[in-house]
Amino acid sequence: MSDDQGNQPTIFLVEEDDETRPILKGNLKNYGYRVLLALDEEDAQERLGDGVVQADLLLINLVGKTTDEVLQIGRRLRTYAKYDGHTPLVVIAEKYGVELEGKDVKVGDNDWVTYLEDPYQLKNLLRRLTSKTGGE
Amino acid sequence: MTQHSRAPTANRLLAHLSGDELELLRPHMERVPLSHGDRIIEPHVPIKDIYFPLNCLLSMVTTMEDGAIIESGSIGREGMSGAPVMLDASETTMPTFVQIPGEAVRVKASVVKDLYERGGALKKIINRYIHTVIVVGSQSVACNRLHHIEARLTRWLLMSSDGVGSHEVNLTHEYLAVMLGVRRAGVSEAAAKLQERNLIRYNRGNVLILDREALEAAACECYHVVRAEYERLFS
Repeated sequence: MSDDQGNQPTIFLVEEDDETRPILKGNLKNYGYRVLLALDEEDAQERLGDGVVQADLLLINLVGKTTDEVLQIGRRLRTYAKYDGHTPLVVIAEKYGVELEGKDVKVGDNDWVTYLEDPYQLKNLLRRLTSKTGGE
Repeated sequence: MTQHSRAPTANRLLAHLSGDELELLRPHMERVPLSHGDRIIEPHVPIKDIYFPLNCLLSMVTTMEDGAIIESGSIGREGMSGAPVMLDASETTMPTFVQIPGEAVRVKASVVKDLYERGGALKKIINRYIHTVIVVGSQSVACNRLHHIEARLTRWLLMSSDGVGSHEVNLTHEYLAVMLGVRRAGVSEAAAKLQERNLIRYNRGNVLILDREALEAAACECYHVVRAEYERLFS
């Protein structure tokens, strides 16, 4: 599902935090992804445009919600965008203990929660998931 | 002092005391190991002991009503806890706890206060130190308001490295997020940028500064302003 501009895999990023958004977007672009941005669920729905926008992966980091709530939002967006179940959904967790740090937990057929710790953890997870979908 | 594996003069404030003052303090010094999370100062509780870190790092934090916490300042081997006692405040609003474990010299606050009131080198050194705390606080406000996460992380890593006297700093991911007042994804991504440039290596809470000179060059002006003021007063 890569775009036709140099076969860059596309990540649809929903990032609510104004500070994290630019640095995350910049890193993703440096890693070779095309990045489509939305600020929250409502904005994401507008930008996804009822199945018009194609992406290889949904990446979501939202403020003030539980991980389960963010997962539900991600699943709703995947349905709204008319993506099939093979499009990976990655939720970045915010509150977690040391025991979960550094783990990427699979919570559905193609749904993941990443508990960030090391700098390259997200890079490695995205590479693994987008290569499975043929994006990289 | 019951043991002498690390000289008290590893703390830069104690290193600047006159020989006479150091000898007056020495019988009251106790070298103590401090563990991560140890509470040094509780808010609104009279401060009974002063800690002079030798290789540990203490954090002063501000806690909001909703539980949000952000660091107000850190205390390493270039400083001391309990400065409010010298200012006749006796207690403070901010808790102080041990962030990076290590050793410190502990002295009764009343002993340090008595010597401070005599007006010798100790008073001069502590007054200068309190001035640097104000400078750090002011600069941090500006930095947190105006500079992006990567610059703030860089400043914080350099200051922590200075505080413990090592290129290796052990910090939890959660702590970094709290101290910088950013989301955890922000910490990881900022660290990723520094690691991509081979300035640091970050792994499981251990930050190793690989290229100190380049990291300093990458830091915002805030680190250099504070560093220059400290060196002006303590070199």
